[in-house]
Amino acid sequence: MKKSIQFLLFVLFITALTTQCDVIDQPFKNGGPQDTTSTAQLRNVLIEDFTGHRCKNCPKASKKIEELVNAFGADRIIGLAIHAGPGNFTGTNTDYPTDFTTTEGKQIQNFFGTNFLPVGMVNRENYTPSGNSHWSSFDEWPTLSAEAMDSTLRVELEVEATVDYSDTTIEVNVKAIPQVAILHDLDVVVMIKESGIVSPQLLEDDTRDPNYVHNNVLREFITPTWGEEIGNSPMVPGDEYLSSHSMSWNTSWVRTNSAVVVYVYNPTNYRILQVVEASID
Amino acid sequence: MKHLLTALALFATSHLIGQELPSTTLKTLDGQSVNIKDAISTEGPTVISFWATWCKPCIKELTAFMDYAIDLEEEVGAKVLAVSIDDSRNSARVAPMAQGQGWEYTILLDENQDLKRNLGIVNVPFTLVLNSEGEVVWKHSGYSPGDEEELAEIVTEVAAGHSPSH
Amino acid sequence: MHGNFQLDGQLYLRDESIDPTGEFFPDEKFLGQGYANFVYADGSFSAGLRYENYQNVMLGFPEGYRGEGITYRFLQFKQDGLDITVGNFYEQFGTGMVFRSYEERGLGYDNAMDGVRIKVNPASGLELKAVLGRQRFYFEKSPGLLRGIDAEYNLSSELFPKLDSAGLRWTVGTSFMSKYQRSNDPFLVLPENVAAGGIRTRIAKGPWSLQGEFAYKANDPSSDNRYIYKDGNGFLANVTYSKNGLGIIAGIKRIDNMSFRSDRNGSTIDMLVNYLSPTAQVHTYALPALYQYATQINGEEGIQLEANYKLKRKTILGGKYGTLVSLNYSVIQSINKDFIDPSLDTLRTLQGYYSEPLVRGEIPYFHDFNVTVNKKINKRLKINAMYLNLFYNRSVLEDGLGDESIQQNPDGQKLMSGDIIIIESLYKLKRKHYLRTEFQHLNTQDDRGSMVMALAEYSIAPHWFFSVQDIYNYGNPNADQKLHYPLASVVYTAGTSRFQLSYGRQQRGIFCVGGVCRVVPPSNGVSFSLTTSF
Repeated sequence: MKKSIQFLLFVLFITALTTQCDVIDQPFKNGGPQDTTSTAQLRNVLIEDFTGHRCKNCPKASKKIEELVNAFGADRIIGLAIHAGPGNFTGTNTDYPTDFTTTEGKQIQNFFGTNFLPVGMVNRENYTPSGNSHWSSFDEWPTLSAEAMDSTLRVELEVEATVDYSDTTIEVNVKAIPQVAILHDLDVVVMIKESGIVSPQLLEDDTRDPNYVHNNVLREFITPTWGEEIGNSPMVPGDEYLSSHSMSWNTSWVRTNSAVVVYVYNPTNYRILQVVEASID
Repeated sequence: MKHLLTALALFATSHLIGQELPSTTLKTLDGQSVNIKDAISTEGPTVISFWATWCKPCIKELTAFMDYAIDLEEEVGAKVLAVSIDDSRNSARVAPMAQGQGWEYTILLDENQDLKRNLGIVNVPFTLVLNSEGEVVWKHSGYSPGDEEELAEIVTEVAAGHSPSH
Repeated sequence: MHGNFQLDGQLYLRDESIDPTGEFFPDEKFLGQGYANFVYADGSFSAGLRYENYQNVMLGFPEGYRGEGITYRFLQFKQDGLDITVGNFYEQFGTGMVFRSYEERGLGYDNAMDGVRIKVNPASGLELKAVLGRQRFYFEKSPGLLRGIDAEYNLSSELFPKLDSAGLRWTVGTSFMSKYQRSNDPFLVLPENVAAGGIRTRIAKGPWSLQGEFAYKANDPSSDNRYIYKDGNGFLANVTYSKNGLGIIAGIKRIDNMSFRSDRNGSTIDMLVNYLSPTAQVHTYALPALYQYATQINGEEGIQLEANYKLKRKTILGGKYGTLVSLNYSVIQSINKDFIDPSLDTLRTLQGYYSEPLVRGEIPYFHDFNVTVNKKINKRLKINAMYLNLFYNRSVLEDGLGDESIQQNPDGQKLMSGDIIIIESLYKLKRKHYLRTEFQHLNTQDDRGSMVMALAEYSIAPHWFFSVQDIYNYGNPNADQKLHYPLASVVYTAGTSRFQLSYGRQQRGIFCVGGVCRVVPPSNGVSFSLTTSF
C-alpha cells in the first residue's frame, strides 16, 4: 500500500515538471531590434567596458559595443573603453608603448572591485558594495541594454560642448530636466572620449595587431571622478538644473573623433539615470 | 521541541563516545545495496576507513594497515570496512585499485557521499573504530606514517573492553 | 548531532621576486575564511545548516565569495524507501554528464541546489529521483530554474533472478534535466527552456565490468560556446578487470559542446549543471601537480588506460614482501571541428561548426604516461619510484584559447613537454618515528624550464608532523626567475582535529579536483588551517 502511494506521489510530482525544450530554427529576430520613431528623449545606455591593450579577450567586448551601436544608434548606446585593471593587461612595454590608463579610470575600477578583463557595467545598475552584481560580461550587454532602453526616462539631459578658437579650452554646458519627481540628490559627471586611435592590441589568437583601431577610449575627466552635484532632493518635473564645466583642451586629441560624455546619477546607489554623448563644436 | 532539546543536549556534551552510526545505504562492489548498520561486526570491533582512489594518504594507510588487519581479524574478530567516497564515475576504479594494491578488506561504496556527510566528515582519510555494540569509540582524521600501529593498538584495546586512550 | 568546522587564514608577505608589480599582493595583507556545518539526525528526520564567512576570500579562490551568511540549510525525511529533502541538497544523475550538484571546498566549488528533491523505491531494484530548484551562486541564486528526473533499474533483482544466480549484475538508467531562464536579447531568439538527457548502463560479472553513458543536450547558446545553436553530446565508457592482484581500467570519452549552466552567461566554475570527468590521473606529487588536466567542456576526446599489479611475495621480481607496479597512459585531444564561416552561413542557423565523431581531432591537449614501482625493501624502508612523461598544451589548458583561434594560428600555441622522475622513501627510525623523503626532477625546455624538488617529512605518530621542502626552478629561461620556493610546515593532529601552520613561498600553480581547476597565484607568507569535526 505504502509503495503505491509513493509511486503515485512521484508520478504527480514529475507530471508537474514541465518537460519542455525549446528548439530554435531561426536564431535571429526578424526585423532586428525595434526602432522608435518618437522624437522625445529616451533613456540611453552607458556601457563602461574595462579593457586593456594586452588583454586578448577584450576585442570581443569592444565588438559587442559596435554591434549594439550599429543596431540602435550611437545616440542610444554610448560605449566607453576604460583601460584599467591588472598590470599584465594594461601595462606598457616595447610592443605596447601607449599608456591608455587614467587616474579616474583606475579609481572607478578599484572602487567597483573586480580583477579580470574584459568586464563591464551597464548604467551601473544593481550596485552592491559587497558583491559584484553590477558587473556583467559582454554577452549580457545586449539584454541589459535592451532592458535599460525600455525603462522610463527620469531625467532629460541637454549638452553643449565647444572648444574656443585658439584650441586651448573646452567648455561644456549641461542642462538636466527631471521628468518625474526625483527624491535623491543628483550628481553630474563630464568626460572626454576619443575614437579612431591606432595602436597595438593583443588579439584572441595571441597575435599582435599593430594597427588596431581603438574606439571610445576614455581620455580625461572634466569633473572629478565622482562628479559634482547638479541638483538636491527633492526635484520636480519641469525644473531645470544647470552646470558648466571647462578644462584645457589637449591638442593631441582629434576633435572630430572626440566626444563629450555626460551622465547624471544617483549618488546613493550609483545608478545612472541618463547619459548623453555630444560632439564637440 | 523535544528533538530540539535533545539536539542541544547532544551538542553541549559533544562526546565522541556512544554515538551510533546513522542508517545509511551503501553499495558493495557487486552493486548490492547494504545498510551500514548491517555491515558492521557484532562480535568484535569494526574499523571504518573512508578513502578515495585519488587520495594518496588513504591508499598508504590502507596498504600499511593490511599487515595488522589479518591478525586482528583472527585474534579479536575485528572487521575492517574500507568505504570509498569516489563518485559514480570513479567508483569503477575502486575494484581494480583494491586488487592492484592487494587489499583484502570489505570494500563499500558511498557514491553520493551520504555517510560521509551524515558523519560530518570533511577530509579523507578518516577512520572510526566501533565497539561490538556498534558505538563509535574512536575517530581520527588524516594519516601520518605510524598511524597504522596506533590504530592496531586501539582496536586491541577496544576488543578487550577498555576505552581507547589517545 | 554531527558537524565540522574549518578555518583558514594567510598573512601575505610582499615578495618582489615572484610578484614584481604587486598585482597578486592583497591590500588587506591578511585574508581569512571559515565555515561550520551542523547536521542533526534523529530517526527518520535530519536537518542541518552551514555557515560561511569570508573576511576576505583567500587568493586563488573565486572572488564571488564576499561576506558571510548561512549558505546551506535543509530538512530531510527518510523512511521505507521514500526520501524527501527540502532546502539545499547535492545530487548526481549517473556519471554527472547531465546533472551533478556537489561541493569541493578546496576549489571553492559549490553548486548546491535549493529546492526540493524526492527519491523513491517503488519496486525492488528501481530507484527514481526528481529534483526541482535553483543553484547556488555565491550568496545568491542562479537566474535559471532546474527540474530533472532520474531512473535507475537494477535488472539483477527480483525481476530477473536468473541474472543474479548467473553472477551477472546489470543496471540501466536514464536521466533528464531541463533548465528555464528568461531571455530578453534584442538580436537573438534564445531558447528559454534547454533540456539535456542521458542513458547509461553498467554490467559486471566476476572480474569484469563495463560501464557506459551517453548524454545529449539541445541547443544552448551561451557565453561558453560563443552563442552557437549547435546541440551537444557526450559519451563515456570504461571496462575494468580485477582479479588476482591485477587491476586494469580502460576508458574512452568524447565530449562535444557539453557546457551546461543555470545561467547562459556564467563563466569559470559558476552554476555548472553538469560534471564532465577528466580521463586523466590525479597527481599529488608537487611537480606533476603543476601540470594537471582541466576538462575542456566545449569539446574534447580521450582515452585512459590504467593497470595496477601486485607482484607476489617470494617471487624473483616480487622480493620478500611483494612489489606494486602501476602503469597509466592518458591522451586527450580536441574533437574534429569544421568551423562554419559566418559569411557563408546563408540559412543563418548559427550552428558554429560540424563535428565528425569518428575523425580524430587535430589539436593535442594533453598526455601523461607514467610507471610507478612501490617496494618494501626491508622492515624499515619502503621506496616508491615514478617516471612520468608529460605533454601539456598551455594555450588550451592555461589560457583557455579556443580551437578556432588555434586552427587559424597553430604555430602560436604554447606547448609544454617534459619528463619527471620521482623517488620517495619512507624510513622507520624507531617505533612511531618515521622519516619520509621525496626527490623530484622535472626536465623540460618549455614554460618555466626544469625544476628540482626535495622534501623531508618527520612524523611522530599520532600527533606531530614536521616538513620542509624546496622547489628550485634552476632551468627558468628568465635569469631573475631562477628562484627557490621553500616551504616549512608543522601539523598537529589530535583525534578529529588538525592544526597546520606553514611558512614559505609558493609559485603560481593550479589546484585541481576531478578535472575542475582553479589558478593559484604566487604568494609568500604564513598560513594556518584548523579543521575539526564532532
